[in-house]
Amino acid sequence: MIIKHKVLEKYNEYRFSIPYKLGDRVLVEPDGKIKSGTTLIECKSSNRKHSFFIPEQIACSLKEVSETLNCIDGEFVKKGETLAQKVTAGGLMVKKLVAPSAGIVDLTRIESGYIDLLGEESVSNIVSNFSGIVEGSSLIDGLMIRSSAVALDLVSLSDLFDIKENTREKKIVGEFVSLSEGKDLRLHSTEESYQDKIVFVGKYLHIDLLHDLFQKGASFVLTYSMNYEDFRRQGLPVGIVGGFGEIHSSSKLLSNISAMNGKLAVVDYSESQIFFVQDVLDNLKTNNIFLTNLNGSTVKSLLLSNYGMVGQIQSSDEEGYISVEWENGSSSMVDIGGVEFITF
Amino acid sequence: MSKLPLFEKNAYLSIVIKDNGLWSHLAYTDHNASREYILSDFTDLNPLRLRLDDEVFNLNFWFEYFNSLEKVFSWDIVQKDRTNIFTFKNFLKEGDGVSGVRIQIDDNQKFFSKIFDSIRSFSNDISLKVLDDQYMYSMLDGISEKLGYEDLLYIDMDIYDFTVYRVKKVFNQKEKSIKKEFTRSKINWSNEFSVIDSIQDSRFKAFLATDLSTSQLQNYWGNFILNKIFSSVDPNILDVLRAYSTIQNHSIFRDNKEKLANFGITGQQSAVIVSGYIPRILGKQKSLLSVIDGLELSGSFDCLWDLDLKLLSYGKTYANGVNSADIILTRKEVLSLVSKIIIPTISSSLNNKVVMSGYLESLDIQRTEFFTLAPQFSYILLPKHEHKTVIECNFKNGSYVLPNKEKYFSFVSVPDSNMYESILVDARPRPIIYGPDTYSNKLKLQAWINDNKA
Repeated sequence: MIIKHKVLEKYNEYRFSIPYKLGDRVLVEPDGKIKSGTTLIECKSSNRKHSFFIPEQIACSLKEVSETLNCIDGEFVKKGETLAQKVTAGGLMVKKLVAPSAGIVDLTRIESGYIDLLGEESVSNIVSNFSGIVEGSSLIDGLMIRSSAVALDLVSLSDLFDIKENTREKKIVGEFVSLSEGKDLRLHSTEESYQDKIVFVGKYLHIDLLHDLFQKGASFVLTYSMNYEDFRRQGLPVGIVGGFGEIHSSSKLLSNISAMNGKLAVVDYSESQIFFVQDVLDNLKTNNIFLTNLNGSTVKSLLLSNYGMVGQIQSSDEEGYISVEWENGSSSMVDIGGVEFITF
Repeated sequence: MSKLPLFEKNAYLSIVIKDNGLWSHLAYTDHNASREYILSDFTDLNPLRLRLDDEVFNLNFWFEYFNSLEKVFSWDIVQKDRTNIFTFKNFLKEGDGVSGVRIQIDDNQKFFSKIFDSIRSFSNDISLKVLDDQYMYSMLDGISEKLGYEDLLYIDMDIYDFTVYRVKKVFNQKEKSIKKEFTRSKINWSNEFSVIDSIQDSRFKAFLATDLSTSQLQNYWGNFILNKIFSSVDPNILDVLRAYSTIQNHSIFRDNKEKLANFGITGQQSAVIVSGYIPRILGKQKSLLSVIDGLELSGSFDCLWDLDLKLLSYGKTYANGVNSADIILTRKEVLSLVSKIIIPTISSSLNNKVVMSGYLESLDIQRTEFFTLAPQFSYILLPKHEHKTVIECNFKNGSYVLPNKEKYFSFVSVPDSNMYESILVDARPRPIIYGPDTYSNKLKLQAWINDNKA
């Protein structure tokens, strides 16, 4: 029997929490109903004046970053003060990262290799675009909410096994942003800031774009595909939806993901899924788990010749071969064991 | 244990959950009418692999599963008149009901306890068992007794787990008696990154014959590991998989030399049972190449295949024979056809010379001759036969088979009992040397298995 892989799985009772800091104001009460447009939290935050990726600035590895620091979290530094330095060539050379202007040091993202200099404080609101119930709130647990959501499986998470066992429950919460429709290959992003956002880059993530996005404050980057070597080497939180290398990506899948633009998203490391909090749409109603009819079914190729390409079954034979019309217009006869059955 | 009436009709459903797969085998017997068969189905759980621990994999899944299984087998399994409770239909006749349902879950299965709990809350009529070392030992003990093998290996080759079980008769000097010795040798990979990154190991490259760049190879291999496929003709993937499984088998051998030593060369009746995901993709010849080179096997032995996990499912049932409490099954339904593996000792100077010539003959097959040249890894498929078939092999040019340096080797294939489907003659001189580079491996594999695709 064949199980259909639901690309977007519906969850009616999804529980998640939005973290907040001391000084932020929670504007909803426990057991209170949330509607689209409800202001949930009033946040006080400082804008990031400058962000530096330390391994790139002073040529050190990600593991060495903490040893190179010359400042502490929350410290006020003046223009020209040393933020990090690395001594090389037996003490003959010193590579320094100096502050280009005065600001407050923020080491929140130091595990990813970033040091931020904060500027003026401003107030912003987190506004709901979904309905749900408030289950409670505390500084430790954050604002706990029950709502409905759809989940997308991540075939891989770059730092899943690098994080410590007790933080495997790690979740990244933020607004989901899609760079255009996600179809073009980009080397740089357009916006000035992606602070605390989960960014979907589309079909392929180039390493330059990755650094650009984290430089601009992104908390997580989602891509359909990426070169495996880059994926393993870069050390930043990246999720892969499709696979590795320059593979085919279904335009329907990309536009389905891009359609989540603006929604609140939760990257769940223990589940290896990204949840989009939203009122469940009619077209996401539960289908049968098992495939009932081969002909007309949607499949995704797992064969290396056209890996990732989506198509529809035209016919099948008793030997286990299926004739598939692929989305690029070509047709081929493939073994049924070389495809995955999917529903959007 | 209650005994089953031997000649009564019976049907039993056994399900194995292992390596994110569901193998269902519905066995039916009517020994009075000499009617016996097993209906099989495989369901890949990989589309749900990230959801096996949450609300998606719940009672509804099992309801749908058993309802769909009914259609696949054309067999009434579920009691449909009780809308509130799920119960199985008692066995009445062929196609109607089952006398019992058993689900065995591999202890290495991810989310083992969640799956266990979901089945337990679904139905109390299901007999739930765990596939662990204890189960494997008792099954292999029974199988070796039943088939008369004194030395039996069960090799399970999955991507993340490689396990070799061995049950062997040994003479206890102190007690002056023969005892059975059980061992287990295992390699377990903790996560997918370790498996994908393992191909960067220089030892891995020594076995590889594909000349893709490292970057391409990693992308290919990464996609293969993260999205399991159940069939591939891609030469690059098959080659990486062959190299990967060879090095896993070799690592097991290197770390467990005492446990795995002297298999096939002691004169004991020996057999190896090959199972797991990798042999299903690699095919029989390349799987055997990986096993023989990885475990450094020589001599002669039988090889059986458990690719659809029928043996894992009904091995104990078969071994218990008429004492079985679930169903009485015979060999031809539970065990695969046999391959005879012959690994003679050959001089390294015998390139392109005949090292073995043989023939087969039976009432329905005229005398048919075959031969093997050095250094071929020759997989010879035997013609289908309905009568006892005698197969004889003569070793030439100084080659012989251990332990007694035999130059003559014969065996009989018996349909419905111990039927051979193929002979594998590994006529490569020892030691087997791979490398030093992928191009050399490509040439060597072409000479060994005529693998032009690699």
